[in-house]
Amino acid sequence: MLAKLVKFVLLTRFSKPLLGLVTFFLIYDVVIRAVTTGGSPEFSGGFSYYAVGASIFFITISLLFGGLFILKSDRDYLLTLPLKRRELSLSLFTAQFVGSGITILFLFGFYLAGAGTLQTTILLGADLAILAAVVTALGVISNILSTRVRVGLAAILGIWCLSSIFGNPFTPVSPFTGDLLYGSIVLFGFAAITVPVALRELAYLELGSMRSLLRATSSEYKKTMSFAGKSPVRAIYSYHLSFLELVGRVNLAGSTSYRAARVRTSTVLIISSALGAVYLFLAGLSPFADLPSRPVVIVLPILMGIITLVLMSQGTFSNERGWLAFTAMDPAVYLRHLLLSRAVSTLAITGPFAIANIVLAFRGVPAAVNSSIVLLVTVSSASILATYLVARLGAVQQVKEEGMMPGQFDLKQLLAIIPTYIVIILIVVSEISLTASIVIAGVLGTLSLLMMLSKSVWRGIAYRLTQRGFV
Amino acid sequence: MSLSVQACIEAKFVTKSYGKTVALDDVSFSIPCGERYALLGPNGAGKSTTLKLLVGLLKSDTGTIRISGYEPFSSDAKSILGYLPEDATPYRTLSVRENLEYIAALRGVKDVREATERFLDDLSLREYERAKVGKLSRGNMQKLAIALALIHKPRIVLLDEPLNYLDIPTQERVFKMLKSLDSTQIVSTHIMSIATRLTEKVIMISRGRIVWNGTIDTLKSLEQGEEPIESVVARLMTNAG
Repeated sequence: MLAKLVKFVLLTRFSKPLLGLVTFFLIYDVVIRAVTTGGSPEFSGGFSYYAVGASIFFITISLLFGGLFILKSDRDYLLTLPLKRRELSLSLFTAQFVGSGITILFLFGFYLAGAGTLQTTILLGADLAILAAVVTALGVISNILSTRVRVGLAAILGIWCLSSIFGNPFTPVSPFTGDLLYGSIVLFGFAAITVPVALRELAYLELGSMRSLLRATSSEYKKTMSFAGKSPVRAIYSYHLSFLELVGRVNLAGSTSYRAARVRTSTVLIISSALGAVYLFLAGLSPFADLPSRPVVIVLPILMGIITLVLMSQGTFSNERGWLAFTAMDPAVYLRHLLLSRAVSTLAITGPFAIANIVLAFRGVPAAVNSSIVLLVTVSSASILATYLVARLGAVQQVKEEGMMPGQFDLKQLLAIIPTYIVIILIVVSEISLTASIVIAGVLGTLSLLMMLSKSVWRGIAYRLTQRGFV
Repeated sequence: MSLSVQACIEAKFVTKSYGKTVALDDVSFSIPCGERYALLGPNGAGKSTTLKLLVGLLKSDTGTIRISGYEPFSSDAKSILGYLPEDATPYRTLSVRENLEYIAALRGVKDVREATERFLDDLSLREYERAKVGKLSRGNMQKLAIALALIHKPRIVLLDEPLNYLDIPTQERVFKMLKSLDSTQIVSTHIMSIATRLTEKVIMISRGRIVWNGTIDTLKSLEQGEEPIESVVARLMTNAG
């Protein structure tokens, strides 16, 4: 029965071609690539920064935006069936794992070949699987937490994991920085807390998370915006510069959930300024600052780039309402100002770190110059281009129900992640060379500007979205 | 020339396909200013596509559409059109008041505050004005959606199942509100009592083609014996199929 249930749950959430590709990637990355790559990459050095950065990204994003791989029909049918709770819970966790946690295996799997001895390889392999389960579990747990708690926990976990780069062996990602024993123990302990909590939530979904979706946040806003006396364009900027909307679409196959949550941009700015100050201290003023290379300066823009791309690309459209916006004014004008305002609002996240990098550059950290350019120009421009690409590919779904998957995920939505990886590559190249950084920023900036100026491009996007069922 | 004979909505030889599926096939009709039409048809007949084409959200493959003489996607047409889709959801992250003010501002309504206050009272949304739309009941969300479609006092109103989810007192209030509007209206609905109370004329679509066009009175005259009007409509749609 469990196997049948797992199969049913998987196939109702993911298309067969998508599952096929996921299986292929898994086999390719973990087995074939690891075995066939001569002189496998070392499970240390540069890999450590990459692994820690990506792990922090997945841990924090799962907590912030997480969600359930639950369909509306689950609420109406599956969850009402007399199924064994253990089997239901395991099936749903498997779907969550395929949709989110498995990405960890794709990203790090092939590095196992360079892990060293058999014993180390087995332990690191187990660590990767456990980390993937933790990321999966955090995505579930986020549903029972209020926005404030999620943001707080994500910040704490992010800083905790980041400290591994500065030599802290007691973090869940320390196995990747060489502290295999202590790191593995901490990771296992972390999983022992999070995974059972997630499984329990999934087992009693109709009593727990579903209900908590309704009560986790207050139903009234204490402070509201006013648009009275504002011109149409000012109204757009007023809306999107006041709040950052948390519309997640962050996992392997896309968004797992949707929450009608918004965070004041000023609050985001205060938090990121505080984190920027911590970053400036650690990278420029603390005893660690004298290290010859400052890996955090390189890891940070990649992390920031991914967060911004996620917020901008699919998130921009999944909360849009064509029947209101595109019938009120020219969709080209509306979308141009919408994108620009969202790109500017994401500077609330990246801006303080860019300023910190400018300070670091003046203190003689050459890589910080590149990072500033990336954070201020490359990421913003790329996010506009990625938003266009995702909509053009038809890989964005409008979200109308809260806390549910908008529909089955297919291959196209998975492929829409490619622009994100291209941008990551461009960011990495920018980190290596100042000239490359300036050229890439210039090219992306010009491209995004030209695209913003083209009315036909955005009118085409509006028609395309409507044709794909956007209302 | 009086306004009543001038066509406010005009569709000529309109065709629209989604891939290989033909949603509308050579559809033509004309609606004079000030008249109210019901758009009837079975599921998948092309009613919603028709409304989306009229409001400029979709582009027809062939044929022409004019809204008071303007292209449907032009600013002139947008300023006089009000549109409510089926199962409409407003911006879920905004409050009720924010939604009303935001859309009023986007539409360039002169007195945003006054328009907002009016609809908060007229549709009994006052007690929810600070509520997150994502937390509203489906009925209250529909009331807000109706308000958003009408906030700029449109001269041409296109409504897709406007009374869905509404309780009976609210339905009556919406009936009165729509009847009192000095506008040209198309109401897409499956419920004949809504069509007969809100409109005087009918366009019936089936499989992307117009199969019947006339007044409600003519439709009623087609009743055979004790046959209800719903049966007449069903017969016309079936025969057309």
